Amino acid sequence: MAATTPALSTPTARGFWKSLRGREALSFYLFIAPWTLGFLAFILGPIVASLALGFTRYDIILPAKWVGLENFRDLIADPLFRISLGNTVYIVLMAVPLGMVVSFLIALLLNQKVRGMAAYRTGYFIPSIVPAVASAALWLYLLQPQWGLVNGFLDLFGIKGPTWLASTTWSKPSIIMLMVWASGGTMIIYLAGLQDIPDTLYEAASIDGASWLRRLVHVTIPLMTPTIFFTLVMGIIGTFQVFSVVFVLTDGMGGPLNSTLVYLIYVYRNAFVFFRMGYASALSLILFLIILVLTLANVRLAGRWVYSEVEME
Amino acid sequence: MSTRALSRRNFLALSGTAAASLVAAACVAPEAAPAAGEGEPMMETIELNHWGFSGPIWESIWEAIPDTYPNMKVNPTEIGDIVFGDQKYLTAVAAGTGPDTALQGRHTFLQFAAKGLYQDITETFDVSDLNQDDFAPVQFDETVWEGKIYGLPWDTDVRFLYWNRDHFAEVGLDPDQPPTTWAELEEYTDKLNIRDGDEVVRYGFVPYLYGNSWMWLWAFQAGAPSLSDDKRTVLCDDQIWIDTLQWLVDFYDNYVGDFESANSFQQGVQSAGLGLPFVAGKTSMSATGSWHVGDLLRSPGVDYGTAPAPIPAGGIKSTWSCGFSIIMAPGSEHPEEAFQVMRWFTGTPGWDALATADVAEAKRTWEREQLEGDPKFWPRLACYLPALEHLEKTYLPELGEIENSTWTLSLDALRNWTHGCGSVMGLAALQYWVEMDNAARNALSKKMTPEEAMLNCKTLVQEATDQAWEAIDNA
Repeated sequence: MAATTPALSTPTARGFWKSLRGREALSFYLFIAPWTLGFLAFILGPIVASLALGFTRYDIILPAKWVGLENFRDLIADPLFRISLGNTVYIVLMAVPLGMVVSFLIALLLNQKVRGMAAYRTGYFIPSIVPAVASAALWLYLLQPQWGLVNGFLDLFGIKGPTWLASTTWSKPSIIMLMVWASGGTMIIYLAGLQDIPDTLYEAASIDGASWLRRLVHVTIPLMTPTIFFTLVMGIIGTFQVFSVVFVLTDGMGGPLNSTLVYLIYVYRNAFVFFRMGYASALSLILFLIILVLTLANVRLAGRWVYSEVEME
Repeated sequence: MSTRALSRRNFLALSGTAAASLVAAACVAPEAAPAAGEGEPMMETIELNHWGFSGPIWESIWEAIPDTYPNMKVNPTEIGDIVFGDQKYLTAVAAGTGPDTALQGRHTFLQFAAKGLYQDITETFDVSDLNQDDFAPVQFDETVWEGKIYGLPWDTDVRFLYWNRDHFAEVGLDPDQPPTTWAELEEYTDKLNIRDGDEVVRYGFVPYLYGNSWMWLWAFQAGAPSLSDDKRTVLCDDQIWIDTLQWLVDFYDNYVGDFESANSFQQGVQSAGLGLPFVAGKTSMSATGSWHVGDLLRSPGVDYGTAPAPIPAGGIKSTWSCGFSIIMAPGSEHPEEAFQVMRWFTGTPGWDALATADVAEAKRTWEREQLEGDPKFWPRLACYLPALEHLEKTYLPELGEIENSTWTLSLDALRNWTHGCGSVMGLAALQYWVEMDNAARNALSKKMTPEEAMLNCKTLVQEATDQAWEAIDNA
């Protein structure tokens, strides 16, 4: 066997890598290798360490001390944990659906065959590639209560604008506005999805006398549900982790009066301001579980509303 | 050899090996010490890493060090936030990759010194030509933890009242008579407030939000304690704190109005490029720090006076100071040279280098902003007293009467009636600072009563203080 196997297998292996399937496999592994290497080198270790640190008291300087479930007991009694989770859930509940609806409507408009469409598409996409710090700085000016453009615009209609980021009532809506403004990435995904819908379906529906609205409801939306599902899942995961925009808008404090204290700002504050790494790790673990449960629930519920052309095996 | 495609397991194993190699490659091996007898130059240049402020002014300061120490080169790097958290320094020291020296905020100094984040320099200090009496006493004490010296204090400040003399005259108040009590402050504020219907045109005075007084200034004047003598018990639930916060709430109710509106008014003034409200003439009085004279020098139109902030009935003249100290990081490979750098930076040569750079910057500012008159330079308050005296002799004669009287007021406060921010906040300074701010804002925006706010502060800061002490006691 030892004598025969190499003789038989070597040409087969060579043949495999030259075959279409082999080349595809090689491409696949090469494409995912940068991320995988980066993940293994820089992310996996901290993730595992963070899981363990959640059960310790650790201030970076002194060795971590095992405290069992103390951090988790503390966070149940911690009002800021509840506030930060509440703020984050509020933003997720508002920003994700709003961002999806706005992106979908814009994608529908940008899917028309009109002159100069590329310029419009670029225009709507640009906000999503503006770095978070720059867009936050821009919105600081826009939302400035006395001289900001937003209140200036409202003033044209005799409306006295709120104090936006200085107001505990309007600070979260301000952040949601910014997030919706920057949802060009979702819009592009929808646009790709819309362009994937065969024209023949629309033609068939038109011949049957379907109006624009009926085509939208009975053709476009059902065929877009896989895309909508993807953006929903990614939107929830991403929005639960909102950080940089809020950090810049509020000088890292989550103010006024903790009204924009989102979950990751609170994690960061514990980890890198108060150096309570153990507690911050416990908070991170809870966020991980929340996102995991929500994602699994989404996947579970997907079968009820996500249309699939491919028969599941 | 397998006949199958690269399996997932093999791929992960390969990736893991490659990643481990990457990490191993990233860990630079320590440089080997030069072998004895290897030909080295007689005057080897020693390079030190300093983390602090950045920018052209700071680079030019460190370029001046070879004038005193020809064999030394200091590489300055921005340290990032050193008021809230100091993430960069702390994580670097924990990883053994800290700098040789660093600037550190004074309010968290003891918290970090107690954690062993700074090198004990007591022995080096004792054999040096330095003497504790050479430094401002309150600021020097804040570099000492359990009898050991952990740094040299660099600069400081004091807080007091600024008033706009023109505004006083405009409403019939004597421009030479600032309010001296809280009752007078209220009366004057009422006269100085200007509103156009619901719109604020000018505030007479806005405590807490405007300027830089925080709650500490007012409570210290009322005699409030912040910590027990052993620094283990947080005292922000003392009745004096609650009464002080109640006074601030009442002040807003009677003379300022809505907290959010006052906040956005200030933001509006600043984002319109008008500068701070007092400089812009949008408030007639401001309780803020000695550095504000520098802002006012660039706004020659403001005719102002300075005096100790008003005190409550039965209160005491008081203020508080903060600033920065320079430390040596644990593990510095050149501790002797690092101490020399600290000595130089806090001493007269370092202050001279800074003043030279600041004067040049003042000239550029005057040109850029096309300001009238000659460029003016307001020196910082140096903690090293011979340097403070040197700055006074060199730069104060060039300044006007108000700047000279404010300098005298600052020195009086520094010597006789200031609290150090580092010693009043203890081992949970960061939490104390944040929670006191939250308490004030909660009460001023009517989310909590003053009593609830201060009790909440006590609970949170006491918990953090207990944890800090537990770590020290168990170490």
